[in-house]
Amino acid sequence: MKTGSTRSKGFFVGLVAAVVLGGPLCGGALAQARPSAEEVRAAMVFSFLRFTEFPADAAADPRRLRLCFSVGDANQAEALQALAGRKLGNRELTVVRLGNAADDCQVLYTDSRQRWNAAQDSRIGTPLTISNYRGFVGDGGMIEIDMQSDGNRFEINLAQARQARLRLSPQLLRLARQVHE
Amino acid sequence: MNKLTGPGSIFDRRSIRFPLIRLIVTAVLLGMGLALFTDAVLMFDNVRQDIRRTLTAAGDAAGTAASAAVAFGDAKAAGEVLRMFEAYPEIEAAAVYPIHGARLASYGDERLLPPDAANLGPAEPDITALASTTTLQRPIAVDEAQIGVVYLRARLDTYWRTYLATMALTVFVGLCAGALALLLAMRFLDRIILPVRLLAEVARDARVRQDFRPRPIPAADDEIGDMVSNFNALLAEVDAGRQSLQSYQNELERLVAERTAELSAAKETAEQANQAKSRFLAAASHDLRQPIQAMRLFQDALSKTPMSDEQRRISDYLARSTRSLAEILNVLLDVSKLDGGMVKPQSAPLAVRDLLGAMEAEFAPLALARGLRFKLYFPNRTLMLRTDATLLHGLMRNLIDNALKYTERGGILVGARRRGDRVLLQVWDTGIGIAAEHQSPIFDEYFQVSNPQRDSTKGLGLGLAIVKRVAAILGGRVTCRSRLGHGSVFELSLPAAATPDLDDGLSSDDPRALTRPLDGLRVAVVEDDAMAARALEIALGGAGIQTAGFRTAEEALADAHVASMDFYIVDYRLPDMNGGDFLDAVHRRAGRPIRAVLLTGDTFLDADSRSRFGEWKVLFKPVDLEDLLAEIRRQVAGSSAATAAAGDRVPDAAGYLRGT
Repeated sequence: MKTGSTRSKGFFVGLVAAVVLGGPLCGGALAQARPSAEEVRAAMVFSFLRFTEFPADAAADPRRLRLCFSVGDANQAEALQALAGRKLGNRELTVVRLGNAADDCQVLYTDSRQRWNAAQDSRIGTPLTISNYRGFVGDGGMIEIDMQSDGNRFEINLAQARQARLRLSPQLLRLARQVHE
Repeated sequence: MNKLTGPGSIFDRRSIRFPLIRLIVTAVLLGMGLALFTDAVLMFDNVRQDIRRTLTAAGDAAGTAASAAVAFGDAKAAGEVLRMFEAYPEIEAAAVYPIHGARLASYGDERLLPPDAANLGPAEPDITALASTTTLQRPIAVDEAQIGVVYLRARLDTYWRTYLATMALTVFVGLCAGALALLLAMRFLDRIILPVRLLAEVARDARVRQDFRPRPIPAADDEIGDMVSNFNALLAEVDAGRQSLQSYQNELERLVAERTAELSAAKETAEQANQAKSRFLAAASHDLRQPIQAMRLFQDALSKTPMSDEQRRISDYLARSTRSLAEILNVLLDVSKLDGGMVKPQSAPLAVRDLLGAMEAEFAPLALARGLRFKLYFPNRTLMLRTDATLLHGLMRNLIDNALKYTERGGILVGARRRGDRVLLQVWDTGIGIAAEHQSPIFDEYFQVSNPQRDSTKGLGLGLAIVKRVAAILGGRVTCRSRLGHGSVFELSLPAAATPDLDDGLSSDDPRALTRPLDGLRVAVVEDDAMAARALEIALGGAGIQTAGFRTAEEALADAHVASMDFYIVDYRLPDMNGGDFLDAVHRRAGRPIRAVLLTGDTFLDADSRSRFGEWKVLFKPVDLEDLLAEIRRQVAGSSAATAAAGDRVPDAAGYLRGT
């Protein structure tokens, strides 16, 4: 039986972006230019949110899900900002830079250990944490994106997720390169 | 008609089995066809739904399982998800596409798969009957947002093979059920048809052989059984009815035989009574006429003797009384004869001219004497009747005599005319006429319009009653038309004769003979009644005739000179032989024609008796002396004209019915 062929990195980036960002934008992006690594990471963040079930009391407003980011790259910040307004079921995603409303973030994205530590120091109590720096799950993060490797491109710290009363989809877990219990 | 035996073949078109079987087969086939068609349609729909459900479930399962792989663009993971289709042999190819993107992963033959999501075709599977393949695409969604598509391509052969096999099995089972139903129906039909056929045979036997005994016919305790039992009950009732009818018929025949015997006995009694009556009438006729005959002859003889005026007047009264008595007797006897059916007409052609001529000769002088005219009217050409001349003469005499009796002035017209194949005889008078209310009763016995005192000199009132009877015997009917004070006409219609009979055998009398002197004529008188014989001898002697009297035929034949006598007057009823035989004997002895008359008082004579008169002239008692002398003169004159002719024996049809 044949299986799906291994795709190139570029193809993967475009595909994720197409899935996350929608047909017209994606189609046009594929036809004209590949999405950037920042856009792919933003799309992966949104996909993680799709396969994650938050506790009912995670947000003050059940119709909203707040994504807070703490990144140094302006392009990354822009790509994440572009997710604002997207729907996740009946909830609308809002995107804010960390610091404006640190006490009500359901998702935190950071791009370095330094900012992750700073976020931890601020004790914002974020349920789901995502980062792309290597060693994030070792630092107590939940999902670590690894854009450099082929195949499965993220690791999951399931113990942290359970501690934060998050329920990650088994399908998501199946795709993870490594799941830390 | 063919006899029906056994349950019969299903192909026997005369049997009710044929249409019933045809009906059942048709119903079974139609039912089966409808059921199979419905089943085929429903099964087809089920198969389609099954295919759709199976493929949809498989697609949805794959989509759910591959959703994360699609979301993260993980082709390897997606490919692993698609390997679940190995459990579905009918799925020959499958693929996962990101929404509006190129194929992420595939399963099976990639050549059957579109390269990207834009060319996937219809979302729902297009499952037409016996189509070899179909395709299906199911969305891959996360949180109600579609992120990709699962595309399936499946082969449907297995489904259709199963479907067709199931249908074949269903048809087979249906056929088996139909055959079983047909067998059961035929067995059930036997329960109906067999009793019905036996019933038909029994009914035919009952009709053809008249055998109405009830028969045992096997039938269940159902409507057929009721019909059989009711039919047998009906047969029993019919049989009982027939036996009852036969009994009634036998009783009726017995009664008819009994009544017939009684009627025969009654008829015999009536005939005996009638014969007794006939004998009485004959005796009365003979015994009464004898003394009357003697009285008249004595009176005639007396009238020729010298008498004083007083004696002459008394003698005339006596003569009139005697004549009246004779006429009354004749009329009464005539009515008796007619009512007894003793008078049989002997039809022969008769010339109307002769009939009317005779009437004129008889009645014209009487009319003239009373100052009346007497005219005849009839066509010049010969008009013939076929009738009994004697009876008709008597009838006409009655009518004309009546006309004279009731006409004071004017006259009588007697006419005849042709009416088709009949002749109409008419007697007109200008008499007193008859009131309308009397025109029917005048034909009744003893009815007289103008004789309330029953004066016998005006007749007995029997004339028209006799006319009515005689007319009926002659095949006609007398009708009367009249105006009171102006006159009457009596009409009688009789059959016309086709050919004229010019010679009636009765030559007209020679007027000279009627006045021929009879002096010296030797006449033998053979009469057993002494008084009658004596009266004859006195009367004839008065006319100058020499008589030789004999009391019996034997006495006469013993006389040596009897064969040489000039004339013989012989009573018909002699004690030792009848007058006809006596005259025959004398004729043989004389060896020449002889002249004679037979006298008889028997008016009640049948044809057989009349035939025994032979050809001798017969005069009926009482006979007027003048009539007797006229007959003697006629025969003597005839014999002198043709002595050798056999006609000397005067033929006569015995005009015994005289006018009244």
